[in-house]
Amino acid sequence: MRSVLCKVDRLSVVYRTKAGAQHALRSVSLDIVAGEKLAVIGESGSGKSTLSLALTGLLPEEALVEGSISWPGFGFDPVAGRDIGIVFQDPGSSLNPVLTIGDQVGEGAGRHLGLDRRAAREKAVELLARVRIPQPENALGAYPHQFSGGQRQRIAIAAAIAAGPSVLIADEATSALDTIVQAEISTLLEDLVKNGDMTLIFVTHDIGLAASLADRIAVFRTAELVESGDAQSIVHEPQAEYTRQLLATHIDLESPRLVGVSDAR
Amino acid sequence: MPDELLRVEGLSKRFTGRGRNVAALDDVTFSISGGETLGVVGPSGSGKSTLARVLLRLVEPDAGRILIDGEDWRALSPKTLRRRRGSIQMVFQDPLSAFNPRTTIGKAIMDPLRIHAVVDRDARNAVMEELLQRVGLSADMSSRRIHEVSGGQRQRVALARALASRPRLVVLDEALSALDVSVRGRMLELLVRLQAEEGISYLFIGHDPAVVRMISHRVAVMDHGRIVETGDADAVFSDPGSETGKALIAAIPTWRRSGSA
Repeated sequence: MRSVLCKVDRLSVVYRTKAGAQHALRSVSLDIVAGEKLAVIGESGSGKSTLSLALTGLLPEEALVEGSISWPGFGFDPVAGRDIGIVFQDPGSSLNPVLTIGDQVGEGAGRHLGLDRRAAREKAVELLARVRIPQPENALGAYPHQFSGGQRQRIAIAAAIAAGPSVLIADEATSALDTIVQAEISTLLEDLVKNGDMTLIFVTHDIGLAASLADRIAVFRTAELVESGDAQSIVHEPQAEYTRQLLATHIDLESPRLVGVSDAR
Repeated sequence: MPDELLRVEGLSKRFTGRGRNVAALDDVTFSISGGETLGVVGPSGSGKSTLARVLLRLVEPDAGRILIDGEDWRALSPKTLRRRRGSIQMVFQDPLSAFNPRTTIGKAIMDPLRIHAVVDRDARNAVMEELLQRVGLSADMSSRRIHEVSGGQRQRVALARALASRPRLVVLDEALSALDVSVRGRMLELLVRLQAEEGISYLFIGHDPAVVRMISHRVAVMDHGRIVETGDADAVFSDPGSETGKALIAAIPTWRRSGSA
């Protein structure tokens, strides 16, 4: 039996807008287990990204928060960047275009592990090798634009895990990538957490991807947690009507085609 | 057998400069019949979007021919090209960057009606409202601006605008990729219905092979600017002949064979 890393208790996040108060999360309770791979899934406006911002303490100041997030697994308030690594959808906007890869990947290690510049660079080489950037020594002096989208996301992952966080949150981290690269990044994330000393929280709109990666799935819809449970149970015996709809609208190679065989040629 | 609408022969386009020399399109040949959907899949950088842009003549190819109804599209005079432009339309991935944010949705749809002289001035408003209804939107959306409506509605508006000039071919470049799955499903159904009603042809470009398979009669697999494989959608996806095709299909996540990764 693994221990509870994080306890989300009746968490609500409200934004005041011109149209009145908007709930981004409404009384969400969820336990995150240490070492698990948890997929948080939902469509636009479901609150899934708000949850990842809340977990990392990155909610904007104007957000009204009720309920609590506690971290029994840490025993202290974790620091984003040190104890919790985050990877976002667009590495183009999370990487600084005018800093070298070595500086960006080494920065977290330097700051949080107290490494000097030289040691931080060595650490950066090790991290880049871990995310399988070819010739990591040569990548140190390069800039983000010199890499493909998939490689940039690998670099963003290297920066996110630089300080050795216990939690890695990937918020739609593969959504902007083509299918082949998406599969490669998913495999990389799985490998990184394989030995169980890092918890992976994988935020995605893709229930197929969630099912192929996660131990547990939490389904969100319009700011509420619809259901959560073991990944296999969620996809094979969904309890909520909404989860059934999500599964029905998921498109894979077994989905029925909408057009017949071409009568041309 | 439906007539051939589009024929592309030996299309090539190289991007050079700043140390680059990339064959974005390398001797691409294919055709699309009236009322047919050709799906195009391939990894990032395989040339899919360049193909779309070259067909629309937003980018000039280095070599090759583009024949529409047998007419050489590249040999047209600028004046004739302008007159013909209405017959190929495009829907992009991001409607927010494809629309003028200050223009109302109604005006955005009426502009092509005016430019391509589709209908008389008096009839434009009625035709615009009819176009909105055809894509499943209410006519009173015409007074709103593109950022005021949801992502799914934006792509319906983009489709209504594309249909305004009564195109024979609509190029959809990752047009459904940013939509929620439920919204995406309804858009796919809409595209199929419009095709059945009006015999439009689609060139449907997507990074998700499973989605492309749903809507396509035939599929072309691209890699490094070349078409590496083409055939009936079911044939290509059940038994891909190319390495790229195999890799694309192996990478599709599904909940049905979950846990296999």
